[in-house]
Amino acid sequence: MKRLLIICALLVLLPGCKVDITRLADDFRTAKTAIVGVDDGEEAAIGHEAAATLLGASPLLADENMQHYVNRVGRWVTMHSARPDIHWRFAIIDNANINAFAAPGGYVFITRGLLLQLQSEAELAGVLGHEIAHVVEKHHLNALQKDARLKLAGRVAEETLAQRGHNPDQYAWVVNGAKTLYTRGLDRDDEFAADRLGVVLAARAGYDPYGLPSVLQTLDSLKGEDSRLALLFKTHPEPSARMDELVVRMAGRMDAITGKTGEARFRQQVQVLAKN
Amino acid sequence: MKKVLVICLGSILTGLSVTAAAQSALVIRETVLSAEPYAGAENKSALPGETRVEILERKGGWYRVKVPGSAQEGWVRMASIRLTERMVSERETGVGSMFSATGRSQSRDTVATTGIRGLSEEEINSATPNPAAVAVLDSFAVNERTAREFAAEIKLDEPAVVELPEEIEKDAAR
Repeated sequence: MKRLLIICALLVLLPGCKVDITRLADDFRTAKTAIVGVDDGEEAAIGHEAAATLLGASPLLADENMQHYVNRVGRWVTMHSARPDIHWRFAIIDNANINAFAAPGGYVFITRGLLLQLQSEAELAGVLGHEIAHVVEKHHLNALQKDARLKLAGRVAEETLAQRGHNPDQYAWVVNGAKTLYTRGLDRDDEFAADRLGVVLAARAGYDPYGLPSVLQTLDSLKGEDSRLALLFKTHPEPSARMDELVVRMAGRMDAITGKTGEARFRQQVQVLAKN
Repeated sequence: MKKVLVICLGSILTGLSVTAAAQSALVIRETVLSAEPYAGAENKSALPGETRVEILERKGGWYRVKVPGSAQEGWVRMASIRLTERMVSERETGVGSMFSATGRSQSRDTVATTGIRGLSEEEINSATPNPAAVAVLDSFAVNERTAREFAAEIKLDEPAVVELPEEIEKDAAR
């Protein structure tokens, strides 16, 4: 309650002379998100905007079988996470770039380009596990909230620029925040944390825990010459560093966990796709 | 049309057989060849840094490798080798050719003509949100029961696995 009062006080103090109800409402939402935080419903709405932004840049792969396959693997992995009951959705983006993304509320994306580099279902589970971990730990949501806080602080100066175009869309502010996040990346520590949790989630789901390190090793071998990796490399620590951080922690702890690679099923899926 | 099919089929088969071939890698630093894939196993010999090896299989965090043209063979830790680029491009022809053989103009055009278009920094920054596409992906969502049945198909277990620590002691398990 006290925090709500602070928000109201902040809004009153903003030096806009004209009362713009839409603007005021938008400021209020931005401020509430920044200071009070969000519930699961608002997180889903924010995630929806972020997901729509990514899909505005590149379309979904038009292959329902393959989309369903990735959703089955991903959903099974989420059932071993701390947030098994949010609305999880997975999607293959039809793009040759090698990358994967997450958005708040349970959205996980993998590009066709990355999928083509994978050798097994365990590797896919490792990649999805990393993205699921970002959602479970609310890495993007927290970063967007931080962004909203900065925006609020900047609003006082901005207001003096007078009548600016204004988007009445409730979560419009998310779009720019998401663009910044997806092109600049999260904190390095968030990435290392997502690697650690991603490996654990895949292992708990019965997969070979070394799926994700194996993918990182593949990415490492592609580096330097491959423009399809430009954004992933810009927004993440070096794959070799990520793999080293993982295997030093996994040795001794994961040795007894064999898990399945699911290589046969993975290849079969790809072959079914080829026949269609 | 038939010709196209033959070409597609050909590329699938070639892709598969190439993928099945030995994968090559480079030893990053001087590495011990172990008799078994676990710490404390008998050491067979040592490989100097930059030794070229072929990967025969992987078990957990270990690869079984052999040195081409010699009898040297054994297990090395995953982190002590680097995959070579040749292998990765072979790998791509493997699965990649199967994808491009689907005949879906959308996928094929993206690869063939526009390359990496769509998810570069500039393109994300200039993207107009597409909520209709999000509605489509909502329809892909899978419920718990379906996921459970899917896991049972290949008998995925659910082992208890503790989280990995953020902090580690230096030099541990190297």
